Amino acid sequence: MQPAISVHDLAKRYRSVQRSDRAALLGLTLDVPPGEIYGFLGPNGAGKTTTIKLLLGLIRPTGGGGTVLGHPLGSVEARRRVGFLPESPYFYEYLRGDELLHYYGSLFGLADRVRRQRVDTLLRLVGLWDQRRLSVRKYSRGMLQRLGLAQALVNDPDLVILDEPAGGLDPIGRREMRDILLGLRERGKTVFLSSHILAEVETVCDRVAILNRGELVVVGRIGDLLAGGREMELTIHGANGSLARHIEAIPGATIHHGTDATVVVVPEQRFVYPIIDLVRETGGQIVSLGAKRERLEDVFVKLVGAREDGTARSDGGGT
Amino acid sequence: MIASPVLVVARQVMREAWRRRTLPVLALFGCGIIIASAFLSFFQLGTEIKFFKDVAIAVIFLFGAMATLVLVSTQLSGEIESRTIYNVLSKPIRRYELVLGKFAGSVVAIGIAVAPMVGILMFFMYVDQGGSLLEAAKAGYMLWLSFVVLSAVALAIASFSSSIVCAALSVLVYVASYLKSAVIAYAGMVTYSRLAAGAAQTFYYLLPNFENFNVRMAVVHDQVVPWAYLFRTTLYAAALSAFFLYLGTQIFQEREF
Repeated sequence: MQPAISVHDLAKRYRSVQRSDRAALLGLTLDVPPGEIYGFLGPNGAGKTTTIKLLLGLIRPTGGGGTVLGHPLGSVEARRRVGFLPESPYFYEYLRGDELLHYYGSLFGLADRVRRQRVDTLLRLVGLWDQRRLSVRKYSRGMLQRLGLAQALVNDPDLVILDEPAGGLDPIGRREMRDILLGLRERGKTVFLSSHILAEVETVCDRVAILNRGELVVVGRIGDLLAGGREMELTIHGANGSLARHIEAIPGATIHHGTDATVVVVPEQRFVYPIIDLVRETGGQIVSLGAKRERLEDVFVKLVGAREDGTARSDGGGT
Repeated sequence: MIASPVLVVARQVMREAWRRRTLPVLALFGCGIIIASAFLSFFQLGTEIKFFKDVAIAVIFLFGAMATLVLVSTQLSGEIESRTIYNVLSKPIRRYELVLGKFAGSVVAIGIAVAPMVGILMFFMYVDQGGSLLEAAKAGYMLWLSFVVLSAVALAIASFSSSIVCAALSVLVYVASYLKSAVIAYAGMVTYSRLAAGAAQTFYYLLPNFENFNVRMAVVHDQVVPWAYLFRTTLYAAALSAFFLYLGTQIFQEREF
């Protein structure tokens, strides 16, 4: 099956007259399978927005190339089937919400009847039906974000590219956004999601790519990235000093004293049994015990943080 | 009905011109001054209608040029500065279609803003039996043609600059274009250098000659503006607009956002 997005050795270098050229993207190779929600992660300045701009033809690559839905990057044919929500979307303030959607719908060449139907459906979907006749300048940040999502879906796109879609949304708005994304996947659409909210990404994405300093650090299924740890986690009530001393003697183990409970993480299962015995002997109580599940945030920090440290060390060595 | 992207953008520009109220306010002011000058001209014994026509055409010229600069200089660069360009260019519209749509919408909106001022001029000429209404209409048309060319020039400048720079450069080009005959004559008088003369010649041919659109004196003195001249000037305006729009689309095509 043809990938929704396929880029090979995609590079972007920004030229500067005053300073030396800056490489924003260093040979990115990526295939985004169709029908999936694909998380595109990275710290600030990693090259995520640059990649999105390259996909849409807002900027031109200085190396490599690729396709979007089988068409060259940025081509009109590709853009006809793509919906895009930019980070912190800006709109014409003198228009009303419904007028804005009609305008964008017209740019897709939607017939009047189809456009009217689509605009009404989308305004209800994003919860702006009651505010549709309100001037955009009176919209709150969250409402603008909802309107941004609506305009990204006005052409019923096969590929939706979202740059920080949850920015400015309250918890209910985020949940609704998540439901919309899941609904898109159910309908066979591809969602390319750039976000800093890793818990959100972990919940909805099938696959993620992590970018750092213009380079791809890792790419894979969420399940594969989060699996593989052998660490065990115990939550204990009534832990005393002898437990802390015991844990300190285990290489790689950590202990965290909370207000209600103590959380202990040990590197392997064999370390668990002596801890259970010790807790029972000292009158404590095991509240929970299980394999420690890694979160996407842990993976992200491990991968990006490690590279940042490495770079910092090598930078430091060079000066 | 499915409209082409150029038409969609043009309609949007016209709606923006109306909603932002700058154009209607300028048109209203212009109309007010023309009406006031009609009453003031009664104090100019013997020359009242000439005075009125002179002032009215000058007002249409001034307010039309202001409306053009205010509207057009905020079109492309305004989209970039307010970051609305991302939402537009991610849609299936070619960049030249965006520029052409901005141009089409601007010149129609400016035409609509100028029309009431020309209408008032014609009304008072009719009431006073003060000359040919057809010639007044021709003068209005010629002024609008000059605004069409100015729009194309401003869009070409906007394709690489900010709103403020665009407005300033457009004013500079507009003023320089009116002064260019004098500049060439001065350059011819003060220098024997072939280089300076060549530069002056280049300057002369590069800048549009906005004087070609000025038929104010003909209307004031009840002279006839020949149809052939009108036709030639229309072709001149079309050629100039096409040149500057081509320039603008080429530059805009290369821009990154």
